[in-house]
Amino acid sequence: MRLIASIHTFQIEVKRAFKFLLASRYFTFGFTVLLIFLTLGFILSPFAPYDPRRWGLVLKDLPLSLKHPLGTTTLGQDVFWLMTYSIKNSIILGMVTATFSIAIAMFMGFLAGYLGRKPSGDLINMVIDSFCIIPVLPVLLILSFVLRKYLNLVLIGLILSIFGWAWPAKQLRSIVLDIRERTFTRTAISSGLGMAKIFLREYMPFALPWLMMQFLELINWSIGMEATLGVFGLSTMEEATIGTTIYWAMNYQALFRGIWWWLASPVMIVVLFVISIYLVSISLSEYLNPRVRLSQMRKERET
Amino acid sequence: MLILAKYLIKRFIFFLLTIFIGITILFLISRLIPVNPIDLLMSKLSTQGAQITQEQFDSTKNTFMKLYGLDKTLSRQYLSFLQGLSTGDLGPSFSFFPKPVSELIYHSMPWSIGLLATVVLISWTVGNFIGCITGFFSQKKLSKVLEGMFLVLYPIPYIVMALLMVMLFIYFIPIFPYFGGAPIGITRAFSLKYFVGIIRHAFLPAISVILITMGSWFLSMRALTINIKTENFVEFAELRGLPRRKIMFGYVMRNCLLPQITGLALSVGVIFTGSLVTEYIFAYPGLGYLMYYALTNADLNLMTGIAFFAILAISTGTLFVELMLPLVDPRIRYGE
Repeated sequence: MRLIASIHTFQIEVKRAFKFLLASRYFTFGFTVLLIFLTLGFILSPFAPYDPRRWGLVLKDLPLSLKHPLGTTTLGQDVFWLMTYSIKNSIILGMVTATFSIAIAMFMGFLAGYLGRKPSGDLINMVIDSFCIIPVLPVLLILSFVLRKYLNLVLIGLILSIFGWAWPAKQLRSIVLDIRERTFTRTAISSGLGMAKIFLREYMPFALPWLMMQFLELINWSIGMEATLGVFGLSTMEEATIGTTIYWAMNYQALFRGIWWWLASPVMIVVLFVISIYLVSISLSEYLNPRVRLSQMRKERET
Repeated sequence: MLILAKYLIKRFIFFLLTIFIGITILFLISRLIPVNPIDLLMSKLSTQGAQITQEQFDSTKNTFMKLYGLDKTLSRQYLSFLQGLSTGDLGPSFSFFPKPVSELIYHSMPWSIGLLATVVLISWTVGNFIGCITGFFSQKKLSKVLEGMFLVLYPIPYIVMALLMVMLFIYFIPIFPYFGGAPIGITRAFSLKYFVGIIRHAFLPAISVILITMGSWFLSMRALTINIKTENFVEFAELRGLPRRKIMFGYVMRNCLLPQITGLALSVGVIFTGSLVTEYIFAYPGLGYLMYYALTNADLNLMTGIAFFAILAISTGTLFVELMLPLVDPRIRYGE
């Protein structure tokens, strides 16, 4: 009975959230674009008439037409189907990176928050800060250079997580530091709850919305980093990804030979993708901010 | 005074810790990889057409092992790695053999640092200034338009922004030169022509990083301002009848600047990553371009050197920003 009741309240909560969120233009735009991309990547891509990873299946350098909506490349790939594969791989990579990074961030962030302002807590905080300011790109480039024979999507995700966890961990630490001082923590401690249980039952509900936003931001970051690694020729070459597409387009001087659609398609897709994820994430944060929600509810009551 | 001293010591420990973590990561990568850097070098030598027998191969390999100190134990290697770095000796480059890595980096460093410093200064100042004003008048139409613009610009990855700029202003509307950091055919001199040439070459790389970074300063400053302007002390200042400009800059902006400076200290590294990528796309002769050269030539020593200097430069920059903080924040100077 309790389960059904909680599912019911969850449904009501989700409905209310959507009602609030769809009122904002930013969210509606971002959400629609994301839905389109998800459809392209996961539902449409298995129906590709030509395998985009193989070369020479279609005529070279064709401009946009009905048969090839985004033209073809010098390597004889259809750009549209190449893009559907790339979107799918970008989403998978983002998920892998975000999951691993958040897992490390949760451990480090909670630990730093739990130790608080003790010297050991300060030290962990400094380590987190160090990982924030170390220039990521040279280190990541070296790492993927020496591992380039073994690179695949999951490995790239793991490599990216080495640095991806630092910013979320920093946020999590400040959240934990904040809620540690509240009375309910004291109540929980004095009623004999173990530390792990306090984290999971008392702190997680506060931290979860922030982690969700960080998850989306990490997906954005990993898409950008994959494109960056790809441009340096260090993304996975067997798969069709955004970075690999840009790499070959630049390698064959696509722009200066007038085949602009080869470079423009991946660039525009990344732009649309990251902007819509960002818009969804800031709308969510607005929804999760109690001040904004209160004023919204007041407005609803007045009208 | 005691609190200030404590702050300074803490920052200095942080500075050393960052460098230490960076160096350790670099060492681990370069030593615990499945590929031996000497094998890389040897295979490169043989692809260049050097005809050598097995004995010569082995003796060359041993010489290189000794030269790079790979025949010692791991802990000894780590110590000599640290020792070498502390004296600025990074060993010879594989691809420009026997030119030392530090000399190559020494030539590219000024371009990168110059670009980074310009970008950080412009984006931080302008972003915060506009952010504060638009946050103060958050209901005005222009303020909302600006917010929408930066909301769209801010999440774009640096590399994609750079490619976008190349497509727009070099291919579709060709108004900017593409290659290099200075015009070709003019000698380096303090002439107006040379100076204008440098600005024209640096403009697109700089602007593509500035637009994104400025977005992040603008958005956080705007949010902070909107938050702070409802505080009691601002209302009190209004009731006292202070001029609006004084409230905006003396009351609201001053309070918002503190988190922005801490934010700057933490994000110099991220901006540096962005400017490296941009340098490569625009063939700007900085560390990013050198990094690309090292990658295409499998020059692991040069790569490690660049990464080390990047870490050193960024942590120094961070330390510099953090030492500025006591000048702005009286709480650090006198204690709470």
